[in-house]
Amino acid sequence: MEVNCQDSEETVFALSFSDFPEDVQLCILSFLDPSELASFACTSKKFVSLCRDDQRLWFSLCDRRWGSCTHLKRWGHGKISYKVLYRILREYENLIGFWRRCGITNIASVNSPPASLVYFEWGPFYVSGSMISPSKNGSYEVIRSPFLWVSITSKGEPMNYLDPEGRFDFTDDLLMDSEKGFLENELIRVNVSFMGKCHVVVEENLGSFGHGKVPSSGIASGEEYQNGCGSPPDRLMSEIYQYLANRTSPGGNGVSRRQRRREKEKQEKLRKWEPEHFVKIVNCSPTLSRPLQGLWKGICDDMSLDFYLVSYDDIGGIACRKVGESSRPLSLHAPVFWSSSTTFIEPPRSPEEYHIYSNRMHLRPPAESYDSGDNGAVSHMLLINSSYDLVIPDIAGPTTNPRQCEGRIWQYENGTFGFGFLRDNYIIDLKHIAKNGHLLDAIEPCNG
Amino acid sequence: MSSSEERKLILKSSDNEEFVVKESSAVQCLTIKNLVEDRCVSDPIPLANVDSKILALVIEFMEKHAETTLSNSEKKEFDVEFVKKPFDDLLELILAANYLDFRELMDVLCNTCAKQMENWSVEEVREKFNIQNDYTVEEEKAARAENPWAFE
Repeated sequence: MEVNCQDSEETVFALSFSDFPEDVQLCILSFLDPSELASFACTSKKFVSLCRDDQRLWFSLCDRRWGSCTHLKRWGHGKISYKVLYRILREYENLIGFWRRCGITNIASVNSPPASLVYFEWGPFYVSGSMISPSKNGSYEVIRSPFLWVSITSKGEPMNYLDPEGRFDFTDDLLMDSEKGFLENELIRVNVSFMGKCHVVVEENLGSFGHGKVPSSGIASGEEYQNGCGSPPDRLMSEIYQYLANRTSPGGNGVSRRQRRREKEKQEKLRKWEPEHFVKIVNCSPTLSRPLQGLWKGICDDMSLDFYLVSYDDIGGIACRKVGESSRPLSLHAPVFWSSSTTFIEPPRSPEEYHIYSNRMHLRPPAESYDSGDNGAVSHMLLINSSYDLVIPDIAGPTTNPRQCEGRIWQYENGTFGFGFLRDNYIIDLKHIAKNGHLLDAIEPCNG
Repeated sequence: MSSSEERKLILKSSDNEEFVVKESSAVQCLTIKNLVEDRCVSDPIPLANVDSKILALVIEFMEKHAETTLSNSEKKEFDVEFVKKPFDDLLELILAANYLDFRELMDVLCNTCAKQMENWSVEEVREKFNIQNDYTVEEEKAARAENPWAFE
């Protein structure tokens, strides 16, 4: 065992965790997650209080994950422990992203039909949900109308408010109203219940008349729902029915049926808002292996802006559907385009193909000076169809005869793409709705 | 010969080995940066708590991360290879990074340690970190069962 005579204090050769300065200990532990921290606390009694250090250790745990997204110290008026905050934020982070409203039953504002696309993002001390709808001004702008605030009280309990008609222009001060006069009178208090990671139910919190058995805000085991995302609507409907069936009416054993019915009617009268279900849109962005995947926006042939969702299926195909204002489940819509193969046709293109592309008009906002050249040259091409009518495969070979395919996708150098059909002369160029988690070209609703 | 970019410092390890480094790289270590700014730089700078083997590694990391021509992903690739070292070396590097106040190196090393800890049992953690178990059998059972921080 070597003892270095320069290091007068160090007589033990092997380093022990206890020898480390506390800063170092905290730094290492701050990279663990809570269950690993619990295991570490089992190694020795000496470290139990270290693992419980809220101001430093648990703050670091939260800071590493969410410090750049939100103001940790403002959640719950700064009165909750960071250990509790960690559990809450881990749950709420599942909300972040794009969701679809299913079976919209509540009447929205007079001026615009209910939007089916919803976007949740981090706020300074809450998560906000906004309805996203295409602007009507002929540009690529999208209207973002915040309508839901998901937050917590200073005791760490959920506190969520709904502004279904988007009547109020929210500032943080308004939301921090400690007397709650404004919040309680003008907004609807709601419960946000997670049914797995991809399904959320938002329903009115009717206080003492409220639900006998609301699913807790805890998340059910994520794995069973992971595969359920994007699955056919039947599964979602059965989940919704199951949820409604599990709710018990107020009152309980020993309360007469008539009394229960009266209470239920009272509850229905007070209710200002019907429960709504939201399903997460997974795969919102393109990846290297799936460059066409995700949520896009484009000007279609009636010169209005529309939203499109492009999804890859499990058998090597791709389909695109409009994400519109209809409340029907997505898969019941006819696709805008589809293809059973996602293998791009490599350049160079035949003169015939070049001709098909170059004589087309790119649909773009008249007011803006968008140059389709901004996207770069066409790099790859894909054959697509627009209807599910039988396409007779070419007997001679595995590839489909280009003349029998109804349309084309042209992928540009900058990663975006446009599509068009042989039956007309247009190209619908698609742009990203969001990039790196930020909504692009968002504007506030003009009538507040 | 431009003076400020090329300015060099001499760092001396605890076992009296001397290393020449560019000042612009060395100031990533706030301890050294403070010395330079306060004009307390002696020649060479003695680092009593860091031996030559560890100091050489710190300098390797320091110079790589000071290179402006490298992209972030290239630096990350370097980091991945850099941390493939025996666990005890990583611990010594952590102490050196703490002493030198070299934040970036500290975070990379601590993150690596934590990742390795993910796969270890409680016994393995004790062994690698030389932690003495001071729980009685009953106490340890209770501690493991309690698991207050593990969220489902």
